[in-house]
Amino acid sequence: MKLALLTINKKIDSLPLEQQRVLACKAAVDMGKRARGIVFIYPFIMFLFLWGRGVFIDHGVYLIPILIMSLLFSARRYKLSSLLLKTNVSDSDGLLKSYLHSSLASAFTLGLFAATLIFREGLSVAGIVMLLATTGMVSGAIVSMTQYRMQFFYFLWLAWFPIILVSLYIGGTQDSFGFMIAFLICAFILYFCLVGKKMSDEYWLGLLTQSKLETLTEELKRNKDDLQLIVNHKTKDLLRAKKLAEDASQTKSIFLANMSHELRTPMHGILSFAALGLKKSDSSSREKLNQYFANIDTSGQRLLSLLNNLLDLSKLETGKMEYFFKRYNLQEVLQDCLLEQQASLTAKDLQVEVLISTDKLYAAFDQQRISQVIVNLLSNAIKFSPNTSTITIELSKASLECNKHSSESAIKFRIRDEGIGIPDDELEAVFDQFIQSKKTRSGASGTGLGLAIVKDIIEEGHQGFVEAEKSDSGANIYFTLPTSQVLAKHEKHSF
Amino acid sequence: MDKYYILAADDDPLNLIILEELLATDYDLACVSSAAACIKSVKKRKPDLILMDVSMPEKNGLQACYEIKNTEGLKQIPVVMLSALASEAEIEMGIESGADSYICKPFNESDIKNAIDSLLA
Repeated sequence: MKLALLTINKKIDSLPLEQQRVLACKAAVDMGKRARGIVFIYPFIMFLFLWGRGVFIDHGVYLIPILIMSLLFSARRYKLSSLLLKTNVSDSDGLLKSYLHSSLASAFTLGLFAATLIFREGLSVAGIVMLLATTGMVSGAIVSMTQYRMQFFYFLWLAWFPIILVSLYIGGTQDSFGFMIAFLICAFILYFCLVGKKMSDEYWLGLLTQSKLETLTEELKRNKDDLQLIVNHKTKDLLRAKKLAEDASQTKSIFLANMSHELRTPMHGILSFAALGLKKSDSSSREKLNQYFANIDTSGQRLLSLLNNLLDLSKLETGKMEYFFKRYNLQEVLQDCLLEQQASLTAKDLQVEVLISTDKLYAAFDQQRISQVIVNLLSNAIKFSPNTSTITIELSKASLECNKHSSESAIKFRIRDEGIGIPDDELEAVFDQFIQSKKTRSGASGTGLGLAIVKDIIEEGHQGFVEAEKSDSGANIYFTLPTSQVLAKHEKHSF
Repeated sequence: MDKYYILAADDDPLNLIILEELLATDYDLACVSSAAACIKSVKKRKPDLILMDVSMPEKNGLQACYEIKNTEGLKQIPVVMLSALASEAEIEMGIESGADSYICKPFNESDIKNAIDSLLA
């Protein structure tokens, strides 16, 4: 369906209907802006003319009804032009038609008024002045109506047609100058048609360009917003990556510093006792020298343990850690670990309290690895326990959830000390590689590998679970070891 | 002539044994295993010099040194840091805490004796 009033410009006609509607709406609003109060100028000038010339008395009976008609049409134009200002795409076409029809009617009343006056007065001064006034008023229409070219042409003809007829009549009956006037009016109409067409084309072209510009601006704004979003998103990603990289770098630096400390400490023991032994080999008793060797051995073992931890970590990371499962009694493994740590316990005068609340202490596990787990946990507890305090170890029955419907039996191993403990916000992080609790980082040494290895051995190697729990005093860590499920996963290993 | 009284603080028993072996004959040496015990002992009997490990649980050696160096009546006691923390930044932190000297582990007998003698001279 075509818009009735837009059969004017090829460029506009070739646009999609929806876009035509948008442009028509804009043109309608423009028309509303241009019309407004100007529509009363015609009847006002008519009134002034009548009043000034005193023709009310002579020809009022013919002219006053025409003036009233003109006033009514102007009032309707004014009302419609106000509505055009608020029009929208859906109703602008109908509203515009009504407005233009009123304008054409208004033009006709204007022409009728002038023709009647000229007919009554002849080509007197009043008639000539009326002709000039009509010319001026019709010229004004070029501004308010020109975008609707055809309607503007109708407007011209309707306004001038009665005057042409009267001029021809006067030319034939009274004064041949009437023919000249009729000819001049026709020439005037032709000229205005040509000017109107040019102005109309320019108007629609301008509107189209403006519309395209608005569309492009909108698109540009949308693209800018999209781009801004992408930039924001990327910036966030980069900041996150930067933070991760900085954290990793800081963790690496802390780890290297800790490693240096952990290597230097046993090295100091080895070198110092070796130097003492060399210096005092002649003067010291055999027992004393044996003590030096024992201390060298202790420091050497500590160094070896550190290297083993590093190797284990490397194996765990590459998935090359091998587990050999067999059924063992966890209590017996614990006793062996306690014996191994006896010297450290004695040095700090620590007590170990073992509480056992289950008689099912057998499970299938890799003895060497679980011993490593227990020794890691025990040495941490010893390191952070104050002298003469107590370390509590509990062995109890537990269960591990396999899925929503089933669970399997397990043994829970819990160790608690009376040391500085782990802050609540670090209960998970302490199991990460190279991470040490900030409480211990500035004080007691360590590499931050021990608990990471514990977690891997228990959770990856034995399908168990390890966690640090909140505690009012000291650290409170437990692990749960399944008694049989592990076997299914590692059935290739004998036990 | 009375021997100088030296107080050593280290949480590692082996390190304390080494210090005893190196210094016990020439100095009156007392050993404690924590920073808190060191401060307590210093207040009880003022030593001529303190040998302080840095990495100790709870209160570390830097904190203890700073506390001593900011306590009237104790601040003039020379403090020698003995630590396996050996980076430049860590040594700087030790000196900033008020330590008069910083010796990195492993050290030998002459390193520690020279440091002590120069501070007690």
